[in-house]
Amino acid sequence: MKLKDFFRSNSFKCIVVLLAIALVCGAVLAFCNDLFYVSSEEMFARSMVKIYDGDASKLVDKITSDDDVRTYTFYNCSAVVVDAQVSPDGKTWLVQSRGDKCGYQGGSVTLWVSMKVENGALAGINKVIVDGYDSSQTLIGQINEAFLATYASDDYKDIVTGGGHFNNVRMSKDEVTSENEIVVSGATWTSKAVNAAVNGAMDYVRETAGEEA
Amino acid sequence: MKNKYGKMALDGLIFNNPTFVLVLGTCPTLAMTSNATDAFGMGVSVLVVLTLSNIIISALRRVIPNAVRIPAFIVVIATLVTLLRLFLNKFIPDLYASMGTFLPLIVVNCIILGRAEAFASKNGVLASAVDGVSNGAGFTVSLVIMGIIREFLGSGSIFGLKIMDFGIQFFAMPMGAFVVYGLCIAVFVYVLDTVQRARRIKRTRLLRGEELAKEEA
Repeated sequence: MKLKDFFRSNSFKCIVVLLAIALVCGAVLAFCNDLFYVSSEEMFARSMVKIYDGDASKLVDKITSDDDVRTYTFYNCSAVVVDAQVSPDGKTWLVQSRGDKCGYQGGSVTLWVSMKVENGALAGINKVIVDGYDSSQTLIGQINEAFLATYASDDYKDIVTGGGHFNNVRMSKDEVTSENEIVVSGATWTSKAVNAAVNGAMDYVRETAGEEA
Repeated sequence: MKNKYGKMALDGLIFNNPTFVLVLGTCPTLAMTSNATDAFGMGVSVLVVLTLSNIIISALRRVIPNAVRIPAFIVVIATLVTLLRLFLNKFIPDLYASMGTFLPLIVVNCIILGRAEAFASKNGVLASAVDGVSNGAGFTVSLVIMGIIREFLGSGSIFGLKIMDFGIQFFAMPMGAFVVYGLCIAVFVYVLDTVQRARRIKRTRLLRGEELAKEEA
């Protein structure tokens, strides 16, 4: 085939059309990517609205460098505490913690955990919200507000104040054999990652608030 | 002309409903119907992508060579889904979070590719837009019906509003989705068959009446 024939052929038309479509789509996406960009500050503000009632601008950042990041291990799971904010009166601690390598297919779930501190000791969990997760956690919809509220319920307060951990998940109330088990239906692996993240957040506050006291 | 678009709209919504009649898009149907809100979000997302992809593909149908039509359709659909993801992440982050991995999976939703291949690549822009809206609406309505049933039976609420203090966890789980889906298809097909049979009988009677009138004349 001569070069002239190639430029007149259907193959050339196919290449040109596909390239043109890809280029236009790429340009539109590049423009919209900038237009709809969500900055880390905006992400932080969104999380704070859900978990903190006070003025988020007055929070004190406890983790300012990578050296401050702490990792904890629980029952084949690890929890990485990546961010921590404290209210000006020191009574509310907001900890961003990631349950690592123990979600479904070894995936992770990141939470913000709001905790109450009294006299340098962890006095309770106020609220837990999901901040992010990797795409393998397809049943994350089962981790609803009702499930997350169980961590803050009075039923488990002894675990929180007594230095304990949530160490297991069960599918139904009938399967629960001890007080430090928590009930979830479906999304068992994702729940384990959530458990680890909550445990990590509690341990971080126990250590850090204790040191400061 | 009006009749043509009306028939197309009814086809997508009822007679060729993508979920209950053609059994297309089963993955999001089963995964995103544990509550009515998520089901509505998924349905509207598919409606938007389906309508826009139908319009664009229909407009480009004379430009895209037949040999590369599927890759071209996929590029267009993937772009629209990525735009939708960016938009939802910016403006409706809660819906974006709840849809999770099923949002990018809209790219391979067979309703969208199916309508692009079977309809939009052969028809005009307006007709393709009507087809996209009607099929998207049919998909949305089906998902919302399933979402309402599963949410009510699974947690006693509808669109997050608590109605009764009971819940059968089975219906909130994947196996419950299969059961509800099967029952919905059975009921929908039964009602559709009954209506169509009644219409056929009515038409036959009318024809017989006309024949008798002719014979008498």
